[in-house]
Amino acid sequence: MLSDTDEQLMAAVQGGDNPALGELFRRHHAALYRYFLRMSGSAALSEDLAQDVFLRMLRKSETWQREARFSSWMYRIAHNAFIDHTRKSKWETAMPEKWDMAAPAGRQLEQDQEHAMLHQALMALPADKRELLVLSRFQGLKYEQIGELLGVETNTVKVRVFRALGQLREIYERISGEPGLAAMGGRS
Amino acid sequence: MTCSEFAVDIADTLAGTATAAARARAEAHMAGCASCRANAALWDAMGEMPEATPSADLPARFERRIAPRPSAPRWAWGAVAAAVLVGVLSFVAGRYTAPRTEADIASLRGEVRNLREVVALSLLDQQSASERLRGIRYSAALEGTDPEVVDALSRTLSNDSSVDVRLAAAEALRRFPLPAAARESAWKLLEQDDSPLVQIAVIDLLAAGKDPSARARLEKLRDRAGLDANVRDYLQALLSNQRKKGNQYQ
Repeated sequence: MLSDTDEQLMAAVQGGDNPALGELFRRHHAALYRYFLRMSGSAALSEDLAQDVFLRMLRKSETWQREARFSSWMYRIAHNAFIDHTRKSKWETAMPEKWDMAAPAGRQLEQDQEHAMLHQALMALPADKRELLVLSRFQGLKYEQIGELLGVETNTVKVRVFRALGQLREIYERISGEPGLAAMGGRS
Repeated sequence: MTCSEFAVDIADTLAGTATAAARARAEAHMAGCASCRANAALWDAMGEMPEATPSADLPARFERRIAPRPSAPRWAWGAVAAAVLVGVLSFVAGRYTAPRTEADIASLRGEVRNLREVVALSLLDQQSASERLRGIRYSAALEGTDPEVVDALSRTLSNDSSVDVRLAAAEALRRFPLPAAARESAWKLLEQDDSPLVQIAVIDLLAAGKDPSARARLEKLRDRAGLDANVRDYLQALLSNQRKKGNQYQ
């Protein structure tokens, strides 16, 4: 089972093999957890939603087409699960996130503060724009895959990512009180 | 030319998928545009953000959820359907063949209530979180107190993997007088549950009960090292309010 591709495992799930779903979960749950964490800011909720995605796969296994890429299908389900959750319980996602990190010092402290402000700016971004940046920057999805997921042209995704990045910068600058990102060592 | 005209080239350059010509265009534009340089710096900074990891036992918890569980056999659902049919037929027959008595009506009400309990308990045992939430709503709508329902809600509160379901179970349990075993499970949960929202819901549940030792235990919990700051603040406010209302636990 370990040497099987995701698609082979999913075909096994379609045939009623639940342990194959367990293997898929082991492979992808951390990436999904990080997707939901970047989207919601809540660790507990992200663990629940990551499990919910795989339970949906089990319930709707017949909707997976064997020629489709498993990860694209998985993120489509994740996208829908997050939308369903935010519709049902907006109040829960409003809880502030707690980041458990060791107390940093010096340059580390400065960098952690920058990351905390960047995280804050991401959370202040509208969810659809946040998702574009999460998928393209953190989850490593190609623009083509994001286009398939959202049902838009690849070039439209690129333009939207560019705009979302611009909006994120404006929010970041408001939070940090500084124009530009010189401290982050930007490209020249 | 405006920045937007370079959007595709810049997005491709950031993702590392640009052609040489597109990358040259993007870099030439960024050399003269502070905003686009700052955007690129932000993109780089995002790549340096620390990556969080889920709980180590999450795969094991998930596997427990998908493992086959004993569920109500088909004949049980058949029996429920048969009971409904018999109940309806008896009601209709009784209505037209014999005068209704208070005892008949009470008996029918009892049967309907039992059926609701069966449905609620079955839903609480479902794999889908939304079905379990339905089970909790059903339980909360039941009249009277059934120990089996309270026990099922208490188990859901302690063991369910969904924060939403645990929260709903805590809310539903507030309708019932909590037996000692369920109360102790709730106290134990306060030590184990890592969701601040669930902790606060359980605190509300325990504070609303008649347990004379609750106040002292809540104070002890408030002073516990490692307690979530939001939970501590909530607990502090709750205890202060109770003190103002006249120490209802003492």
